[in-house]
Amino acid sequence: MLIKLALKSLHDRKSSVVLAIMAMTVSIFVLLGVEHIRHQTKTSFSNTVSGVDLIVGARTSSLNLLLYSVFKIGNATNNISWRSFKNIAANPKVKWAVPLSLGDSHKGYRVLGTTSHYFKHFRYGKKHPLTFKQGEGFNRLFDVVLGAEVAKKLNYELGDKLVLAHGVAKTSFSLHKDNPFVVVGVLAPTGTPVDHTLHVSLQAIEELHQQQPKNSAVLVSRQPENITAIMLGLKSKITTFRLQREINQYVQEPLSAILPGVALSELWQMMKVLESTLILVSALVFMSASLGVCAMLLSSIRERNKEMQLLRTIGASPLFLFRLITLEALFIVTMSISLGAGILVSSLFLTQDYLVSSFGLHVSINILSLNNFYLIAAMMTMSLIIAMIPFIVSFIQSQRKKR
Amino acid sequence: MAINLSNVRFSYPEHPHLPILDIPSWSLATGEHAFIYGPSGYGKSTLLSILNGLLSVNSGDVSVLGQRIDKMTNNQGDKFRANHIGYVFQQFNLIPYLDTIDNIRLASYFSKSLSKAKLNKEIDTLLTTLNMPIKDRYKPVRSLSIGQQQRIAIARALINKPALLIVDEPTSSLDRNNTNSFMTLLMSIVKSNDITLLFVSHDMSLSHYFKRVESFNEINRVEHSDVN
Repeated sequence: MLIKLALKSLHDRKSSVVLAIMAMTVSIFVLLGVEHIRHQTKTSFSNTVSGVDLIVGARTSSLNLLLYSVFKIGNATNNISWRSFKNIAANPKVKWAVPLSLGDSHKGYRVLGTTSHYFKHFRYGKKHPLTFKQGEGFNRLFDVVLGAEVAKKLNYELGDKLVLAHGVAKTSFSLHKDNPFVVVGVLAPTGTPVDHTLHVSLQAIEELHQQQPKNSAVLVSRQPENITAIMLGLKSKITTFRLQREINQYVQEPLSAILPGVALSELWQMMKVLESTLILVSALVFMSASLGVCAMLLSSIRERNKEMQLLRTIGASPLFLFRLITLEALFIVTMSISLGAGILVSSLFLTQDYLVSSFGLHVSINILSLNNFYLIAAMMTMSLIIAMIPFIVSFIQSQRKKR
Repeated sequence: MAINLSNVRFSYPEHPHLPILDIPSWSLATGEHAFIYGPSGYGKSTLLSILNGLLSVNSGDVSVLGQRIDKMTNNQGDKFRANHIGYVFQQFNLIPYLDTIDNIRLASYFSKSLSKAKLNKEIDTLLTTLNMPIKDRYKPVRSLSIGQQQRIAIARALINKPALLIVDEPTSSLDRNNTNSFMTLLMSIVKSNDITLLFVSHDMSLSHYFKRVESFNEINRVEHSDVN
């Protein structure tokens, strides 16, 4: 009877109820959406690189070094000589060293020249190694290993041939036409910039930029002259800061060494203002929607007052009325939450590709998280409290009359 | 005694020095039908609220059907009201968006006196006695005429077989014809079910249905000059 009464009463006031649900839905959509994207961005951000103790590049700011070496955004200010790489790699504290060479591209995707050690040592997320979805690492000079997104977007399969361009612009007039590369491997998706990268051997990069190309098909141990950055893994984490100091004070060449974790959090700090603004906006939207619901309930309270009095007269206890109002508010809130979450999931589903291709944002469709759960719980409690205000007021009045 | 009042005094807490009721003694015997008349705004409805336990008196004894309603807890009062007293008011007797059947069921829900099968049978009997066409029983009551609504209000009030029926200006929104048929119906049902009836109205023309007719001014000693 209680549920029937609540449903019929809501049905009776359907226009205002629908308006309230719509207002709530929009605010919940915005709140959950902002919160979800913020959280996802942060996670994918801090998961971009792990297991690398130091990143070394030419003397520059730590953010710049992080951006071009890990995120492949912007350009290196300068290169590192191969001799410095040799020296650092030979340092007794260093367990492994992976050279990185950037500067070429393919249809807007960056090309990374490196060694096969890259696939062995690079980690992302919670120390996940890179895995091959198809094929294997490069063995020959003009082999290329594609990131998952590159292969998917450009429809490349194993054995396909492609040509690299000099520079990083989307359309380049300087193609390395003489040296087509063969796709030998495709990496599994990682949700990091690796997905948007083509990996070739350091020697191939060197070969491309030689004035007189000589098409040797086998990987010869040619020494490159310059590289862009180095990823280092250390034998003991304790020595990280000492090695960082040593590299920063390296005399032969001005170098910078950064701790990726620290640089990542610095980068995130820069976006803190934006993040707080987003939270503030969604909180305001939520507050206005809650006030809307409250206004809706208050405006109907005159009419409902008679209804409540009638129910009391025919024997309903105050608890019954309390449950009735709570149930109605709960219905509105639950409807709004499921609608808001549903719309969010479907719009994430629809815009997922767009977000990745335009913003490089990997947002998962799964919005279930402890954080969002707390958020929903907080919204429910808050709207219930607001919904109960009119009732509590009238209850106090009736108690005053009685005593 | 169905109702027994002695030394009842009442004023609203908002205006403690403005007495509304002062009734030295008044009673209604079981099975009696009483008509109390008096202009509106003289505390008649306040008295009815005291009789159903929604308002408490400042001092004095109020016993209804042999029970001290002024001494009951809220919860006991709600139960007692649902089980033993039926009400018909001038207007807003029914939840407008529920249909006839559900309005009556709701009253039964709070007293829980009848099983479901019995309830359906009882509702059917009552509505047939009250000449409610079957096609109107499943419409929201707001779409029915006021005459019909008042008849449903009687059915609603009687579903829990109350010993006392309190009726407050039930005919003010009805026309002459409807008033007559309503009154005839009410009196015959009350008689055949042996229900004590307290009927309150400002309309003296209804007094011929009753043996006991009293003026509210003789019951209540408060002088009303400035009460609205």
